[in-house]
Amino acid sequence: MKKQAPPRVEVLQGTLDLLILRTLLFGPSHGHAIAKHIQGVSEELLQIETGSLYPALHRLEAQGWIDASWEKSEKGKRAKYYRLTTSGRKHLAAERTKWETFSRAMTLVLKPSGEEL
Amino acid sequence: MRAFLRKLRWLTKRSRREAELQEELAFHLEEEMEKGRAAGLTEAQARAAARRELGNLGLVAEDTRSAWSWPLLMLAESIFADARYGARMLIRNAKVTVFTILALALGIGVNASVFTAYHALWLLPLDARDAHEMVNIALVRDSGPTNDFSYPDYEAYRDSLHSFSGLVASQAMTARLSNAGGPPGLEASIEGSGLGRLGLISPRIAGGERAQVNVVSENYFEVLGVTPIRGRSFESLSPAELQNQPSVLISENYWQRRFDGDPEIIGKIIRLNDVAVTIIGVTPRDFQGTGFGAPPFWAPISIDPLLNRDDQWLNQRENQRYRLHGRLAPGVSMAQAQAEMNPIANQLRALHDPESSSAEPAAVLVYPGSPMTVQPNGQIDPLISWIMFAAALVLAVACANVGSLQLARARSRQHELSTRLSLGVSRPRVVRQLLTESVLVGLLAGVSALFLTWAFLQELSRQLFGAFPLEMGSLAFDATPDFEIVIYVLAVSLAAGILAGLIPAMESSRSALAAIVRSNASSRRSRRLQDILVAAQVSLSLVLLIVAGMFIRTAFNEITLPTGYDIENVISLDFQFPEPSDLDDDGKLVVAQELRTRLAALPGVSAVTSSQPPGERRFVTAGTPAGGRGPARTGARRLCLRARELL
Repeated sequence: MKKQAPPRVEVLQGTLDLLILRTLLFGPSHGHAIAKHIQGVSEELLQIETGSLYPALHRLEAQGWIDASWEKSEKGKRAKYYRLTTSGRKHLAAERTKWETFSRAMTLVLKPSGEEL
Repeated sequence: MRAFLRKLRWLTKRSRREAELQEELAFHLEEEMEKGRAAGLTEAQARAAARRELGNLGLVAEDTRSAWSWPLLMLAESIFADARYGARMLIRNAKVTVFTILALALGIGVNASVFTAYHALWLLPLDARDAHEMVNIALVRDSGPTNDFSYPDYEAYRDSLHSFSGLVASQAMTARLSNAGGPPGLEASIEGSGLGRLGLISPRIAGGERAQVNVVSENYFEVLGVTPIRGRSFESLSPAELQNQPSVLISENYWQRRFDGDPEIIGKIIRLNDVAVTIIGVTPRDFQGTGFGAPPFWAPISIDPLLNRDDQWLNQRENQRYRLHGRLAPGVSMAQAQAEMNPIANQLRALHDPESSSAEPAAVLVYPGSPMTVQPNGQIDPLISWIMFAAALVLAVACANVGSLQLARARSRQHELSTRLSLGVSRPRVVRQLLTESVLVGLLAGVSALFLTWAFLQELSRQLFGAFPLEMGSLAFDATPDFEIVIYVLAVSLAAGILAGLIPAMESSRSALAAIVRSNASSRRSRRLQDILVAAQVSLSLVLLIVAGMFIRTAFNEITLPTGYDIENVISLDFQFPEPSDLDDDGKLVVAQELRTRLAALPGVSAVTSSQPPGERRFVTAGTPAGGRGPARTGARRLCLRARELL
């Protein structure tokens, strides 16, 4: 039952938190919008599973990195909006540095300078 | 810490949070449908697409919920939920459940009984106040360990050691009891006792009334911290008084059983081995001191020479009959006591006969107080390990039995299991749920086993109480389960529950999984597994039966061990002279010979012999009826020769 869709990339273990926190940097948002935003920005390469999105959101909330409140959505329905907290911002910065270091290291190993592709 | 508080807050408002979670997911579904509708799908198509995107809603909710809890709490919650569900299933199948619990309870009960008995007999501390301070003393020589010391050696230890606040000596002996008045009722007592009924003790060998006497040092009751419930103990008398008026204590058990609780017991004069002794006190019920069981009498060591008719009894260094027990002085360890005793043991060694084993180099061993003598390697008696092994086999049979029953039942529950698996419950989770159920059964069986064991041992100790004839004293046996036994039973029943449930749980969850794919799963595999379980059960039972049979054969063989004498057609006759008697020893011998001559003259008697067992004042006369053939005659002649040697 494969759908015709652009080849998807599985979200790496542990990176979903980073994606959510980064998305919330734009302002408060609800779960559905967060998922759609990540998909859109990643040019549909990243598909967020609902099965991991909500556990991740609640885990971040339990950690205190994001806050939640019930507000009216643009269509006038009650929705649970998440927003970044101060400690969440700090955490995001730290995680981002970590990720960038990691990704640089990966690139260096996979594409050593001097090697022609 | 903050996260902890946040989680706690979530958990306290749980039902509201649950509702919010449902609302949040419903909102997501709605948004998704909106997207579908915008893409031009019909209402139904949009709903289906949205549901597909969302996946297993229940699973999402559960995973999300777990973000707010702790792994351990989640585990506890799910176990509790499983147990509740399991209990409901068990109640629904009440008949099967009762049978299962009974089968397991029997298996666990056998184990618990063996463990309790082992605990109560083998790990029994000394019967003393602050029993943890009491120690046993042994000498370990190259030729083996010994617990027996002579009186002079005991005195030397007692008077020179500082490690002990008290050192006692004791030995058990059987004395002839006379002048006790009342009907001795001895034969009835032996025939009525369990061992007598089994034919293990013949009333004929008893020959007059006898009673066990524990001969103890005069400080015994003081050191053990026990006071008589009536009268007084030996400490209250000076050595001179004890010498002038030999005194004994009587146990409450014997006082009640032999003297019917005679209120005039204190001051009563009885005879033990012809020595007139005064009863000066009654020891508490079931008081066992440093030995097994409550003996009828306690006598001071100073009258031991009288009881044994040997003036030099206490002076002979080679007469090693006393076991030593000490109470450690405050703050002294067993190792320290041992270190202090070793040089003294070395000095004493030089005083012993250089030819005897007592002169061998020996190391003192001080170990926690126990009525048991030292074990050569400090190991558990092999007999006990065999009995424990047999008990474990019984449990294994019960587990196999219950296991195959569970397997059969799980097959009938296949529908339920496949439903759960289709709903996205993982197989390990289903196995765990089934396992929880059988562990629940195991624990219920354990609790029933605890009561069964208790009742069984109560009854057994009542039987044991009656198993030994009056003269041997009363075996006291406390069958009340203590904390350790409860823990043991719970551990065993947990293991039994897992053992009985694991294979069926694995198997039925597997076949349920298969059943989802093929609607009519032929569970040949699980049927074969059941066959294996039944085979295991039968073979284990067979092993058990054979082992039990061998045990009984061996025990009977030992009783009927051939002594090398032909005892067929030999009739034995015991007699004794009334005490006190007007006849001296020579006079008695004349009477005995006269009796022999007259017996021999009787028609039908081919040969008569008589003997006096060493150390005792009774005669055993054996006769052979004339009808006896060759071998019997030979046997009688042999006996006759033996008797001549003895006289």
